[in-house]
Amino acid sequence: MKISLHIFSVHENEDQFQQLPASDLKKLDTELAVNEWLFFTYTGGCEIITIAEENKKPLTTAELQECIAQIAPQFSHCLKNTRELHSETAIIQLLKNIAGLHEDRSGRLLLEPIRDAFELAIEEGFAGPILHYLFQKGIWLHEKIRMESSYYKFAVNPATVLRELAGKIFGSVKNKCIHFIGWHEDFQKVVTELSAAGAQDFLLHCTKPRFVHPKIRQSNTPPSKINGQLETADMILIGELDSDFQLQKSAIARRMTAQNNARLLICNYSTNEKIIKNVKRIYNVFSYEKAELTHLIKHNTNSRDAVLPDITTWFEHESKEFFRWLESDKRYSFAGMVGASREMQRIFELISRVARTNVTILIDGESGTGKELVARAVHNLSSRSERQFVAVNCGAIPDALLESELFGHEKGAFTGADYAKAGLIETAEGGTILLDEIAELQPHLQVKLLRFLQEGETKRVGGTETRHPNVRVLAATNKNLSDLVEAGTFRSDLYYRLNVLQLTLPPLRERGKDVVLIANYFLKRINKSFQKEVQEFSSEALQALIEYTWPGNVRELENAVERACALAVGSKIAIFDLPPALQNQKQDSGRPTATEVSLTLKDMERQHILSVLDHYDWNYEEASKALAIGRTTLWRKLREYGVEQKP
Amino acid sequence: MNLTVLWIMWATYAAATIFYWRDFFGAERKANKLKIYLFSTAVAMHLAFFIFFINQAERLYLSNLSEAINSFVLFTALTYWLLEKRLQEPSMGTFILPILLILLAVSNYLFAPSPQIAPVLLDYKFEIHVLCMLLAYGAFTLSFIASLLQYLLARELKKLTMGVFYKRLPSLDFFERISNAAVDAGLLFAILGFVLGLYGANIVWDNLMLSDPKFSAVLIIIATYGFHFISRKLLGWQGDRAAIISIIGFVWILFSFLVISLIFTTQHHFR
Repeated sequence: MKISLHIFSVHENEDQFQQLPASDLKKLDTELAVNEWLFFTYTGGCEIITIAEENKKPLTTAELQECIAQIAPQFSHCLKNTRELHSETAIIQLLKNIAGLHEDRSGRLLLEPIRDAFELAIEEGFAGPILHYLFQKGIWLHEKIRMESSYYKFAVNPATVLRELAGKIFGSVKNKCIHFIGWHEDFQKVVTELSAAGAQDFLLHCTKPRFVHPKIRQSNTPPSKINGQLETADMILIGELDSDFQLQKSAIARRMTAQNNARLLICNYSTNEKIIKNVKRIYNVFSYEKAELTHLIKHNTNSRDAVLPDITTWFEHESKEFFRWLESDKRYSFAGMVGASREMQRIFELISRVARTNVTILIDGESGTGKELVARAVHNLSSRSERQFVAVNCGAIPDALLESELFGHEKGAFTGADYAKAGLIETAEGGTILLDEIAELQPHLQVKLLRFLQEGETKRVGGTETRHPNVRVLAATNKNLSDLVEAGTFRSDLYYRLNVLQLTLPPLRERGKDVVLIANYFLKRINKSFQKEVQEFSSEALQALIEYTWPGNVRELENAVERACALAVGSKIAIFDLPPALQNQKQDSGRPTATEVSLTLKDMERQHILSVLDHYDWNYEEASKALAIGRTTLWRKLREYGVEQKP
Repeated sequence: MNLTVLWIMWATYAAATIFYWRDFFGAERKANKLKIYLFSTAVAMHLAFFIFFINQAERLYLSNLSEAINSFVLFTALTYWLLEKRLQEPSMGTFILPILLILLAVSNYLFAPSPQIAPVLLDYKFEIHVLCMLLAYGAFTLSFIASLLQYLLARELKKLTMGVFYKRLPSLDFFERISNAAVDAGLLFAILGFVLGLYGANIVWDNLMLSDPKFSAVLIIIATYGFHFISRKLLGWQGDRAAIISIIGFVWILFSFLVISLIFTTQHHFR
């Protein structure tokens, strides 16, 4: 499918564009008449992303302006500044916004409002698979940039620059006392930045404070007396003042004496450069004018831009990947998994976010929900993807062997240890290890695993050498580990160490129409391997798939589709191609369903023959006796229905 | 002891130095583990050499200028290696390693295969005296590098020139803490070494040899770093002032350690 993706962005001098209420968004949805769309606002602008099938006439800027003017007249006056981007440019722009490459006038990353708007769009049904895909890719790129580039490390706004300078001078600002004199619009952001860095002591000397922050103590000292109150200051930030004020050299000298010449950082945010003129040369005083900070920001921005070309290639690559994905018709697939339900999209987003970190993940969910697939997706999306992924089923290996399998053994460690062997953890060096069925791990191995997770150390069985393998650990279980901890069969410390991030996979019965998506996905795959031409499920078969509770989850669904595909005649899978359990759910209701009524006698006969054959494990002798027909008749009928052998 | 082994050791330190420099002055700082591996290998080789020598010669590797410089390099490198492991900050290595490399080259150049050792030098009291002095010099070297980097960073911060030191170095506070701790530890070892030296001199020369230039040199070192300590504690000197004292102290150490030892060869001998 080909699509047209447009971004209409509005930049205005207004401080804040208000997000439209849900009712207005619904009206806009009707007016826009596109497949998917997203609307978000930020300080100084707003953006609308629309996605429509290419055969539809694309929305023009004028049409959009008209729509918005009708529904939200408050925006109409600024719509003249609408800028339109489309196709690849728009996709790269959107990915950059989500990845946090752009920020609004207040210095807030656009990622934040996009995230909020995206939640709302999912809630209201405006966002579909394409926006989901782009959002997940954007988040993944954000993490990739964070981990593999220095892009986010550059301080490019007045608050972060001040934080950087304070960090260079003091190391930590944790116990530093910060005095604000007068008012400046950047102060609020400075407080936020320095608070995030650990500062707690803020004192504002201002007769008419323009903002209130829970961490700021207010002082109504008149400007003439402020110089006498600076002895406790480690940082002095000066804004605009109503009356004349000059930082006196004697005040700074007093402060230096009082604090044993401890370093002092002074920053003048006001336009009056005379305020801190006399203190520049004092020993251990670092004083800066606003122009110097601006210069530093410019310098950092240039340095940041120097790393941009590398990052841009990542975006271009992902943009191409996006178009390939569109054409591949894998609309709801993510790293080998299929799912359109909210729960699964949430899982995909979490995977995108944490894959590139080294965080330990506990994956839980019923048997057959795809825990190993999630683990593989985490590995494949991480920077470890070039190295090995090792999956170990802790429940499938005898207890006596598991220790040496996981940690390895030295020659002669036990009877039969004729040679030294590296453990699976060592084998996965640089990569990822999945410990499946972790709940089955014996207590002594739990201790050893805990040591590895905490200290990064392993020792082979019978060995003395401590090794430090660089391996990411993922654990999976179909049991509730917290219950096992309460029951005392699983160590609580290991549980907390594993459970840094928990991904709980929903059972298939709770994934709504994902069943149909997954069934179609399996059908295509199995069809190919069986070299058959089964195209789709009949509506009855689909209904049966949806209504079934799937105790065996995706694995059971895969088997059911495999069986149905093997039995199917022609291009459709009929209800009687499905396993008996799915068919029987109909019979349980007593009366024949509409599906059953619509079956022909031949269909019924075929279904009955297959059921009987299933019952007798495809023993033709027994089945023909039960059906009260001869073996030759049974063969003939099977050939007639296109069933050559046991599927 | 084979000189080739000493030059191989030097080459390993040199390789580590190249990687430290490349990492520090390169366009984008990379967490290059190779430099750590090379440096660790060099220190391990050096330590193994030192232990092997003790085992073989049944004395410490301290009995002439070449040996003393070699051991000084080992102690300083080992202390820095532990410091870097603990603090995970490799910037100081960029500047310490070249100093160690030059000193090791001087030591190798002065290497004597079978030196004539005066019996008094085999006494454990002498060995402790030299050991203490070398540890003190090692600590003062660390303090010098930390102070130098602190001074250079402070200059860039004052002028906001945003040069390589601004980009690559951690905070002024970080270097000041290291410098102060190193001076405190160095001072302790220096005083201990000096006292043991006085005691040894009394025995060897039957009186205090006040004309010994080493005696005066060490006194000046102790006075310089003592002033560093007192000015910090009593006068509240921090930052540049303390850094400059530490830098001056180290220049004097180099002078006394190399120049005095090489020029006044007839003094401070034990034959």
